[in-house]
Amino acid sequence: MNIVRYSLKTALKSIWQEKWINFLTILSISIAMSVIGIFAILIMNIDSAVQHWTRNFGVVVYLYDEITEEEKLKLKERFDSDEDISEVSFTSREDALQDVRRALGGNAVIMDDFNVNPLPSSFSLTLRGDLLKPDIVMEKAQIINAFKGVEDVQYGEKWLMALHEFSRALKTGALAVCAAIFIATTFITYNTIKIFFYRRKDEIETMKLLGTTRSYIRLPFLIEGFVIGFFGGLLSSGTIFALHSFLTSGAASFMPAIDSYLSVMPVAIYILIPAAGALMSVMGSLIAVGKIRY
Amino acid sequence: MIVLDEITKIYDKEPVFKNLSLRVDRGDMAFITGPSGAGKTTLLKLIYGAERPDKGEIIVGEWHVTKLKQKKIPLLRQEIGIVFQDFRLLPNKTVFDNVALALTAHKLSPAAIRETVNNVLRDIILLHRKNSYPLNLSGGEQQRVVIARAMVAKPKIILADEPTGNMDRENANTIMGLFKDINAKGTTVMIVTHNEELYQGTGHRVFHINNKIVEREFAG
Ligand SMILES: Nc1ncnc2c1ncn2[C@@H]1O[C@H](COP(=O)(O)OP(=O)(O)O)[C@@H](O)[C@H]1O
Ligand SMILES: [Mg+2]
Repeated sequence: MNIVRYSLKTALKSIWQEKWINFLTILSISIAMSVIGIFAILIMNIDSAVQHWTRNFGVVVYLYDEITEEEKLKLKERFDSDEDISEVSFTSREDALQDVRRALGGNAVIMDDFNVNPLPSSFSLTLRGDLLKPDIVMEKAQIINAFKGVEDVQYGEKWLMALHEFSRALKTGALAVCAAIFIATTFITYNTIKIFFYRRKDEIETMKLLGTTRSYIRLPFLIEGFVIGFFGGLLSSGTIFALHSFLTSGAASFMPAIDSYLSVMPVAIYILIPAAGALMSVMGSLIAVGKIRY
Repeated sequence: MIVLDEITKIYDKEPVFKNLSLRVDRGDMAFITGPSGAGKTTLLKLIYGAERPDKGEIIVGEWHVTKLKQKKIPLLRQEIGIVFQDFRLLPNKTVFDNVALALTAHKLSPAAIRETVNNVLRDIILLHRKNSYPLNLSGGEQQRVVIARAMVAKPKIILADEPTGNMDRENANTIMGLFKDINAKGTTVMIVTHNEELYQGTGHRVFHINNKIVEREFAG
């Protein structure tokens, strides 16, 4: 019989005959793939979530007291035209003093002891969210620091560093979980196909003696693995879709603003998950069938 | 053509054959006899590549069996129909499906498979049993299923290991008639048997295996 026809027939027959084992395998794979999917979405959205948290991250540029009006204007022009800077605001020495007085409230009298205003004037800059990586911010700060009239540049260096480390650890962890579950998916199918292979061992031994080529023996198992993995993945796509719809529909009022964290939710993921499931599952089958020796 | 040239085969340090040589020409019918444990079944296994000799060369048709790559072994076996001494029938498959198993890797449509299998079952007088399961058949009937499976793919060579061992004389004669027919159509036939009646008076070549060699070779 034609190999494709024979293999499809044999695989479908086995899928039907062993429908409960197959169903449980599909279910296990769908759970595993759902976890992978959720972690994948998490990885893709860590950056946007970090940006969300650091939206108001600012850099403060302190100026020398002796700075000329001309230099100040030049600096402002530079900041305004810089595409990396989304907001620029100037605080004069007097404004700064007012701010401090306001902050001190009733204790503002201590300020009266100063004969001269000790506070510098400054520019407050807000950087674009996607630039908020420690090394980029540091480089930016160094460049600005070298501008004429700039005394010092300050930003939440430690905080930014910690946030960056945190998001990196989160990504690495999620990636490791994904990898582990990927291997687990392969193993789930491996187990099931191994059982089927052993059940048909006598038949396969006889087929080998009757001159049946390797591909005829292998292909039905690979197709079965493919079907199991694909439908496991499809079920998981459905689960993720339902979950995503639920979380963004507002039905989950206990978890507001989930939408703003889920900036990346590619539709391709619904196709990628079944494809990945099928691929891993076929690999599991391939290992389960193993080397065929005559 | 089947040639075994100076074959030595060792099982667990104990040689079964020592420099055994044998030749059956294409289109011939030949018989192998010998006491139990002489190595008759092993001899057939060497021919279809299920066992490898420790020394010597085996040629089957255009195949150099001793040098054959794993991948090519099924191609060799597609040219050989084997009647196994232990039948190797699958209990969970019907007679029809057991016979059709030999056609798995052949490029035939399902309709052609149905026709071919039905024809061979008719020849061997088992068509009425095609939907039965092997364990519901008598020993002789089971043996006929095995013979049908060996013939169904119209191989160039038939190797039959005690094919009439479980049969009465009448059935044995029917089976021998079938072997004669396919031999007359050009198929090389090699039959292992204890039953002298099968070859006596036929004039066919008989190889008597004993003491690790072909001890006697004569015309039946
Ligand atoms: N797979 C095997 N492993 C070890 N010894 C074997 C094996 N197959 C056969 N033998 C031994 O080889 C000898 C020949 O066996 P066999 O070919 O079955 O003889 P026959 O078919 O002539 O009765 C016997 O002594 C048997 O025990
Ligand atoms: Mg034997």
